[in-house]
Amino acid sequence: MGKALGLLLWIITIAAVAMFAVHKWWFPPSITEHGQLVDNQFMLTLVVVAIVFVLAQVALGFVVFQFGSSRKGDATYSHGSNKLEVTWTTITAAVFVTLGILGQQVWASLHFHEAPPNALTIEVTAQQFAWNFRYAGADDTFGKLDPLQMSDSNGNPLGLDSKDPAAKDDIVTSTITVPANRPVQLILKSKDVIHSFFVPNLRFKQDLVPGMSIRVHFTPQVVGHYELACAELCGAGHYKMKSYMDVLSADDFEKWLKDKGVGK
Amino acid sequence: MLKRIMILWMAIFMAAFLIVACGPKKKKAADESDKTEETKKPAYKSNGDEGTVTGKIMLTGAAPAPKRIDMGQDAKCGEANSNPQTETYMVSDGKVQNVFVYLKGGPADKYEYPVPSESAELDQRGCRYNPHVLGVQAKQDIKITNSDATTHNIHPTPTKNQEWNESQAPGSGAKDKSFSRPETLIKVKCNVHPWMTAYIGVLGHSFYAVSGKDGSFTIKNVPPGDYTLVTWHEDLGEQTQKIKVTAKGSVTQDVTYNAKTAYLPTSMNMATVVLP
Amino acid sequence: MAEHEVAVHAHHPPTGFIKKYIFSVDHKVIGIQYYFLAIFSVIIGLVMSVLMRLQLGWPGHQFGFLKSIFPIGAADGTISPELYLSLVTMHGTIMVFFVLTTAPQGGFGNYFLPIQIGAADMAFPVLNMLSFWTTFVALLVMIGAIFVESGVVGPIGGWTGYAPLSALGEASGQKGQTYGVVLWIISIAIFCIASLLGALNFITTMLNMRAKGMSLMRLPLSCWGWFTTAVLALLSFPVLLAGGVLLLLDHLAGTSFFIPANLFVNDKLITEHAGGSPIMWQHLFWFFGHPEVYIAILPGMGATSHILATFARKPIFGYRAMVYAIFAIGLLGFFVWGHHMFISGMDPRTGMMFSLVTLTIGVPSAIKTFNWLGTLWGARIRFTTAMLFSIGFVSLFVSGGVTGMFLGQTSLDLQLHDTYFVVGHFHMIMGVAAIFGMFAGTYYWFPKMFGRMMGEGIGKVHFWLTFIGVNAIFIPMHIMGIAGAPRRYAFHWNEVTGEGFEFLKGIVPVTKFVSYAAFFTAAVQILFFANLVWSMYKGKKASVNPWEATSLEWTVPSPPPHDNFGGHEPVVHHGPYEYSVPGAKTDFIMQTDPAIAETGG
Repeated sequence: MGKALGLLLWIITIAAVAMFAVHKWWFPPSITEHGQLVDNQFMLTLVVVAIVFVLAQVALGFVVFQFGSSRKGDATYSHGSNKLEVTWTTITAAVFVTLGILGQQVWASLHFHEAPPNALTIEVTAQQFAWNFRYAGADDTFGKLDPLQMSDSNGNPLGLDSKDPAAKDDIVTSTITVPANRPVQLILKSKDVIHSFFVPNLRFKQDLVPGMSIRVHFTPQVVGHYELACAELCGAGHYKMKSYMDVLSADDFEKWLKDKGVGK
Repeated sequence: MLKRIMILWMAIFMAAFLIVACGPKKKKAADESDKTEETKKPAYKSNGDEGTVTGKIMLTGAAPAPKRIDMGQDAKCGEANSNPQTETYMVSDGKVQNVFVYLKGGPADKYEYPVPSESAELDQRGCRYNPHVLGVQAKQDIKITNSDATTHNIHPTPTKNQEWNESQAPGSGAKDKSFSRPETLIKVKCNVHPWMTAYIGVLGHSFYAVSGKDGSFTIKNVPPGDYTLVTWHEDLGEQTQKIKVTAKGSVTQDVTYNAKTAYLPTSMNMATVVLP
Repeated sequence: MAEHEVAVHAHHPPTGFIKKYIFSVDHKVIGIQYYFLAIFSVIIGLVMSVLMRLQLGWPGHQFGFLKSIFPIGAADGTISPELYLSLVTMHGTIMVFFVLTTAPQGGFGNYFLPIQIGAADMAFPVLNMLSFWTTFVALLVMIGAIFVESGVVGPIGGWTGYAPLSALGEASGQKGQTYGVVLWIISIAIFCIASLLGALNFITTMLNMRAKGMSLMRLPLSCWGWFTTAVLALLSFPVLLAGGVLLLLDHLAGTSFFIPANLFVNDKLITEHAGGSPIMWQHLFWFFGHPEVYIAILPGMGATSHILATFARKPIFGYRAMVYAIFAIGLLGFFVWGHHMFISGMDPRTGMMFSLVTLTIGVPSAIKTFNWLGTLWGARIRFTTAMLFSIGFVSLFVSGGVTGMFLGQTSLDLQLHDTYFVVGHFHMIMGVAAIFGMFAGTYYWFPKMFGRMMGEGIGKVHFWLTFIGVNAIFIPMHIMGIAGAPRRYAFHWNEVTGEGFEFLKGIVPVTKFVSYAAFFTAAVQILFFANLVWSMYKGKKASVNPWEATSLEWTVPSPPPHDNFGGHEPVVHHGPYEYSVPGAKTDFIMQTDPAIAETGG
């Protein structure tokens, strides 16, 4: 029985490691600089965790393989060893805390610095179950919003104030389009409940909380068409709260703006 | 003895589960009896002398131009609908489409009219509701279909009827629904495609019409009597006219709306809102 | 058994049955009541998870039998997204509260804590009865939440019930969010009260009712597990209770604790509320929610340690280190709730603090693992079913624990938060690891509780298949999370309608595999239930000490008499794990055995 269980534990260990090693199902490609750092930190953690995991499971497999009741000799009578306890406590503490400190770097770079001054600012307003993206337009100013004028069916989901001239040239879209290699700052808001902005390729996720404006920034680098998901349960349509993120080259982005009526 | 406890316990749990599970049926039954308690009106007996009401809905002044709706979030919508635009104002040449016209008062409210056996139809196509404005009689079946390749969600928001909110996957069968009490008008929206909106007028009779592209409407088989003709537009609001239908007579009543000077969107007509 | 009960209840013969078996104040009967309440709940939760896997594996397919069960939620035989979310919510809530919190603590803890410390009953027997019946009421209300709104669709907000979705009620326009949520909150609030009563009782009992000679460091580790759990429950459930009451006020009384101003929901501007903070609910919830993870697993750790030593025929390696590690986990568990909220909009600097403390929890967890391995090293392991499940517990605890190293890091949580990586992680550790602790406890203590042995052969088959099954379910989920699959989605890619996320098309085979593994594992549990019922009637009669174990529960008859020790208090001479003592006659020395002097325990 012990031999079989030992073998099973080793097989499960190998299978688990293999599943993580083959990369058949893996992260979608990263398209940001910080994404690369996230991936590196993930790989570092993966190696450390894999070592811990394999050592522990193989050791467990070994003891059940080796120390069955059919073996010769008596069970050792021991209440433990303080020296061993101190050793392994120190080692694990050092490894885990180091890992924890290393893991803060990307977080700090994303959250503890203001967006660079040349960043493109886009206001993201989530609602059940759709995304609205607002660009300030030619005047670089977001117009006033009037909740009384909000109407999805009337093509004014954000309630752009018809009396405010600054709102006239605001562009509102249901998919987000950004230029490559230019910092993008998002101002995240929600109309109703909590949503979460998640583009797997960005290696980035942030909740949109009603009553708050959360500013985040990142720099997409690879041109392409990416999927955007809502990652916080927001109601029955949560699974379908999908949109797209288009990363365009700088020229294409200017063209896109022009098509939207913003000539610069 | 412990075995007896176990059996007893499982029995108690199962019984409790079943009791709670059967609860809603009782509630439903209570609902039905509630309805039957409403004052019974005499059934309408036809003398074969019904008349007709016709007319046109017109608008003076300029209607706001339709806006393009960005359906980029769902590629399936774009495939089925290449140029989606707002449907609040469907005006051509001063003629207003999608105005709900119905009769109130007189014989319309005095009698009980049989519920039509054929069902009204509401289709979802190109991420729009078709028709945009629909009239039905209370308890009449509404057959809701999904012709799109994407899942829709049908969410009427009535005040006098039961609110519901259900998803409909592409290729799944039609949903048969009905509203039990008259209510004008119920807004229907699709939660996953927020721009999708329809309005359903539920009446105790079938003396209603929805104005066509040329702004015209026709209400047939109207028993003779004095009525109020109500016209309802989702943004322009309600207007009423007194009309008299004589035996086998034909009444023509045109209705003219004035375009709004300050344009306010639809949803705000539904409720008075006070900002804090 | 009989003579003691008669002595207590002789003057109430007509109500004897009710007093003895329904409104009983005997901790053993209450323990069994809790245990069966959990068995009933786990069956419901298990069926729900099978339905969820059916939907996830084959979204859009029609299953005719669902029509009759869910005439509204699955009108044409496909599970609608709202029904799916309702299943998610109820599966989570029922499993966490009525299984993971109830069986290990209320069930085994109630039954064996007093016996293991040498007491005749709990400190407050009537309070004990009240806490069970309060739990029972909570369960009834929770089941009511499923059915109250238009049939078989309960609340859809997940077991975390984030505000404002859960606070808006009818205004949210979501099915199940009106009365369903109200009952859901009320049930949880009642449950909080029940747990508080239970926790007080456990703490008092263990501190005040120990037999002569039962010093703290002679307590079996299972007692330490239950004690620490009780302390966690005492400190965390009041916070959830308060949070629940505030949420209920927001929902029903128009207050605005969690609802900010100017929400525009369901085409309506909400003007009745202003000034609340949705994040505050998350703080209150997770201040309870994280200790809750340890409430679920610490009793399992205690029971596993106890069983490992018994069948390894060895003393626990590093007993004191084990006790301190349990304390450390419990204590640190109160300072890490923020790791559920890294991306919630909370100040990112606090995220750093929470992240570091979270990784530190790995240290006591590693100490426990090392000590379990140390206990098994050089052992003579008897591979009983209980032992197999305990070894399985250690393996799953490692597998589920190490992935916490990813999620505890702020920068990795950016990607992995609210994906299947999280689902795999917490099911592994607080789901199946804790369940393995319960299985181990059941196979180990069943003879004492019911006087008959459980079928070992069928039990071992149950172990092998379950252990393979749970690994096959939950390890692939991590991979799905890495691929970016968000949780609480009715589907990621729907082959029938061609809807969903293109980048997740590739994981469809993994999803199907997980579903097959889940059906397999769920089916295997029939073996367990069958074994449980069969053994109760037909099992081999159990002797006083069938496992040749040392702790006090094995000194009394199986099942024990009404007052456990027949009126005379036991005297304890040894630590709990004196196995294979050199020079002793047998390879185990009972805690009550006066014959041999101090051995070091």
